[in-house]
Amino acid sequence: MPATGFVLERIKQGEALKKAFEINRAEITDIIKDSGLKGRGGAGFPTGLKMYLCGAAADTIKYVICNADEGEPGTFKDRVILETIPEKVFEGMAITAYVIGAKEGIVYLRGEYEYLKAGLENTLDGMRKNNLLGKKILGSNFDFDIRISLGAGAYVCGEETALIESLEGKRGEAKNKPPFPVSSGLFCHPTLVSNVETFCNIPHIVTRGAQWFKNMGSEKSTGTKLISVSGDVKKPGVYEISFGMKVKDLLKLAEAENTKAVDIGGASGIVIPESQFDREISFEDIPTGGSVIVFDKTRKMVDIMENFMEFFLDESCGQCTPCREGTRYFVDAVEKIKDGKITEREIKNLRDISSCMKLTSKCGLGQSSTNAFISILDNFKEELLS
Amino acid sequence: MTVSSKISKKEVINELDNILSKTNLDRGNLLCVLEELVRKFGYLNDIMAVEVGKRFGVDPNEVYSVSSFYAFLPVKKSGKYKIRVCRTISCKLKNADNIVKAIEDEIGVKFGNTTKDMKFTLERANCLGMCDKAPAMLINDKVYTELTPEKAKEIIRSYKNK
Amino acid sequence: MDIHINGKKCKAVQGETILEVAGKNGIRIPTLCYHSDLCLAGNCRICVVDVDGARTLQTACTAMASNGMKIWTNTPRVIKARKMNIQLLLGSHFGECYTCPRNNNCELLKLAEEYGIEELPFPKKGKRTRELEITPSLTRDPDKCIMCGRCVRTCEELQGVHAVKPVGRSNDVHIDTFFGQGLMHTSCTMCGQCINRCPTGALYETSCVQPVWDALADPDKYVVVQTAPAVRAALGEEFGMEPGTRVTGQMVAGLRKLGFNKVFDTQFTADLTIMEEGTEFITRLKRTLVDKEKGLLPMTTSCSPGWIKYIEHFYPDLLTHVSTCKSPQQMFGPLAKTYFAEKEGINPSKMITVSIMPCVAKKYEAERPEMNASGYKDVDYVLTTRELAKMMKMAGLDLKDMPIEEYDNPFGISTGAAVIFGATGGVMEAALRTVYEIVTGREVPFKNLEITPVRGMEDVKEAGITIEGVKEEYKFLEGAKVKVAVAHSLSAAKKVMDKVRSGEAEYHFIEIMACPGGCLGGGGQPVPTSPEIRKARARAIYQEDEAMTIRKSHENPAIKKLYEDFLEKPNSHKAHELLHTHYLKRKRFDKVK
Repeated sequence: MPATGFVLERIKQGEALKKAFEINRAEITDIIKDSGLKGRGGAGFPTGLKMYLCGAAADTIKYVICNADEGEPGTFKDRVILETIPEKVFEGMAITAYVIGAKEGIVYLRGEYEYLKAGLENTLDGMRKNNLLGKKILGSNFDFDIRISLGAGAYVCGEETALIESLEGKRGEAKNKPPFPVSSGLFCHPTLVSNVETFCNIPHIVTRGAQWFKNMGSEKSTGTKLISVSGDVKKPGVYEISFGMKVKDLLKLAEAENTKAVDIGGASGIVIPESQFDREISFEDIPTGGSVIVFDKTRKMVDIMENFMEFFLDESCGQCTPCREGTRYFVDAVEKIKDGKITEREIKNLRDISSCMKLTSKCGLGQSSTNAFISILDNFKEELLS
Repeated sequence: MTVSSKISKKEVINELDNILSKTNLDRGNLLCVLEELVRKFGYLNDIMAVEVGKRFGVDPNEVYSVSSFYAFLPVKKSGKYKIRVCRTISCKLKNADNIVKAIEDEIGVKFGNTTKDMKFTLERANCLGMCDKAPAMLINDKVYTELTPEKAKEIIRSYKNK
Repeated sequence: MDIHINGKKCKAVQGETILEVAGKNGIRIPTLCYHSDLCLAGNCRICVVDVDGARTLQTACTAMASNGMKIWTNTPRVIKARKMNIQLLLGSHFGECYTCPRNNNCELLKLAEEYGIEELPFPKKGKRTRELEITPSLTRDPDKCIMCGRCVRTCEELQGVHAVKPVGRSNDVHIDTFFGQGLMHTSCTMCGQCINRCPTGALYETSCVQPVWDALADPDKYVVVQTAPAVRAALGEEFGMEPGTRVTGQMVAGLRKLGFNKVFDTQFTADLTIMEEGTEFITRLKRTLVDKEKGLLPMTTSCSPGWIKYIEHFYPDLLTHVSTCKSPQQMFGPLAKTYFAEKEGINPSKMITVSIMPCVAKKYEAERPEMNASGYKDVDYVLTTRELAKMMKMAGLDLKDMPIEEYDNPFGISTGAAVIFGATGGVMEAALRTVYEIVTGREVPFKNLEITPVRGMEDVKEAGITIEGVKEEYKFLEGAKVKVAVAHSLSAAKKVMDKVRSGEAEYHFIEIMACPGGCLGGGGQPVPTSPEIRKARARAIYQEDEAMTIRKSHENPAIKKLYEDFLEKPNSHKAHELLHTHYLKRKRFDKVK
């Protein structure tokens, strides 16, 4: 399947917004629902449903938040979007705000991307000048503006409830759900949080329609996905693929050679061996927020395990038992694997800890932090345990 | 930015006045104010927590607790320039370890430490989102990519005279 | 609405959690970070249950019941996950159970037993990673902490003190004081409420058990003991009795068996406090109403050392409002070492005064440098209710087997007004019983002397009493409506004191106790604590009052004699020397320059 390519394209500013004003709000929600667009941050929650729920929540104050806390190891597509076409993200936010009835939008930009802030502010200023933001946008009765709020170096703030806590000036600890942000989010007001790339899709769907979008991708994964490819490839970078592309085809695009393993989904994703390169990138098979890291035959799998588990040992928020206490055993286990001293029994115990973390962690971080470890263990057992 | 071993209450109050002339006192702006203070002083200390707490009507210990959560809001003395070398796998595959060694050589302190003159703190950072241009590092809010040991040393040298 | 738990249909109301519905239906779900006094955290992940349709397990303490919900509390995967989370907590829980002050009363250990933990997936942390912090009142062992956050929530929500917070993140997260400066340099009030809610041995009182044993063993020492009112309403719990069991006489017998030379009652000095504080109140009224002086009213009580330290840190500008009376414990000390010592011909330098308190702040109070009016340290050792139980157990004494004995004279005689000092509103009630009668010559106009508006567990209680038909010398009070307020817990104190500071409050007299429920809910009382347990203890205290023959402090014959023989009259020069004190303006953080 060839690369498609519209997400990173420039659009005529304001066109989608103008169109949105011509359609009623419920209809836009229906179009987005019909398009099958799902959140591009990784979790894949249907965007139209999110819009519907947040729109239906009764409150005079609502927020639209753009999650630009791109922290998953190996992901950089949001950075590229924000470097090249931020105006499209902002327009997507404005349309969303119009639909759900929000007046304030916030971009939660990770602290590591602070250098992007000035450029984004410029873009916002330009849009204000062109009446694409601010009071009575494009002559309508709709007021909406966007501000940028900087994170401060905490991966867990990519989790939407932790992000909201952080925006409230608190420790970035995930909250118990429900309530979900769509009903009680920032300062307890209904809040729609979506990924940078998701907002980029919205103007296109509004102008070109749901069917156009559904023509791309697979049945349950409509549209395209930006994939950040890095590691042992000749052409690292961002690729826009149709959902359903096979891993091996992506490797070809990026000119990977001698590939031994591919990590899909970053530190919280899975690592697959060559025998699985026929698998597809989609919500049906391997979902991803956009990270693909390629490893060639010179790489040791135990080093990858170590890197990912140390990452989580740094980045767990530490409030709930399984995630705080569980992670360090995997870091210790890597040492034992390196020394060839791990026992079958210890591996069984690690699997038990892993399933407890998956089942009982408060948020997605703890629920997914052993994915890479376990998939490497399963897929590269001989190398690890010889 | 000034980094000295002693930060007086007066300096803190002046800087806060300055920051707060552009920001209001909603709790939602707390992190932003703390970030500004770090930009100015390099780290957060007890005086700042007390003064920020007073302004925001938030308990100073809460300010401390919040700060201590975030990697970019250091609550221990830290250098004027924070060198954050990406430690995540894509950079590691491109020999980020050699970059660290080169910088250690250049500034004379090991990973995790601050130079005696309080100029540099060398830290590891998790994925900087520069995997396509690995290896990468941040110095404060500036990003440097596709590093080689020589290039890294050169960059550090340019900061020495700043 | 209806929900199903383990196949059983259960009624639920909107806003109820799964845990609450299960509890009402007799279905037990284990908890750890949950506490009935505190807001929900959902951190420990012990109370997880299976909910049909949910991918992951849900925490019963936070998940709201919704119509038609199907919940399974004991599926194999639920039990396995809970067990693993218990194992994970044990894996980083440092130390051996037999050296732990919470041996036998540890919620984590109980869970370990319940879930049949025989081994851990990986060996336990073998080395100490964080040092003990020891203050005169409480000791913190961060290595025993399991990060349930109850202490943080207690200090923040219940007390509004914010002395401890989570610091750092991930595996490095720990509970600490402001920039690690220590409890003694921040505004910890030493109330010990965190101890009562800690599920493990991470927080406990700094023990005085051994020095008390040493004093009892020393033939040169004359050791007297005083027991606070609230202790008798709770000590039984340490011996397996129901909360609310009164054990006064058994406790006296036990103390005698431990070898104390005299067993006295802090209630005696509680009555004395009423005389001193009541007189001070009338004087403040006069100076305010007649001499138009400012800053004297409202007057607040001063019995609770946690409250004293709180106001010193948080409202230093309002210290003139605090009664200058020492607490009953600190009135007792100097009287024992002067009046009683003289009377009995005992060298006060050989006398050791021990007090049994429901409180850990009393330990700090006894250490305050100004508390040496007798020329010696007025109160040598303070033991909590828990420590007394421990000593009795060490001596092989079971409270259940103790005979009922009486206190020694002269400091063993007290009134019903004194026993109610142990409950929130009690000091106010006792004071009004006396002040009203002094001023009017008649009994306070409440049925059976029960001033019900100041009783009960509401956090701030208010009452007004109009004074009519006064005696000649109190003419200035004729027709005055005296407004009083009672607050317990420091967050309630804050509500009242903010009003005092702003001038919004029109109170004349305020009783403040640092702990919820008053002393009966003190930081030195048996663990656990809950609203129900505190109510039961309060019942015991009011029963004790009802059963007393004398129920007004000014009618205590031993107090009358004390004034005749020694102190002359309330607020006399001598009384001021021995029984009154002064306070210190303190900063929130004394290390911050």
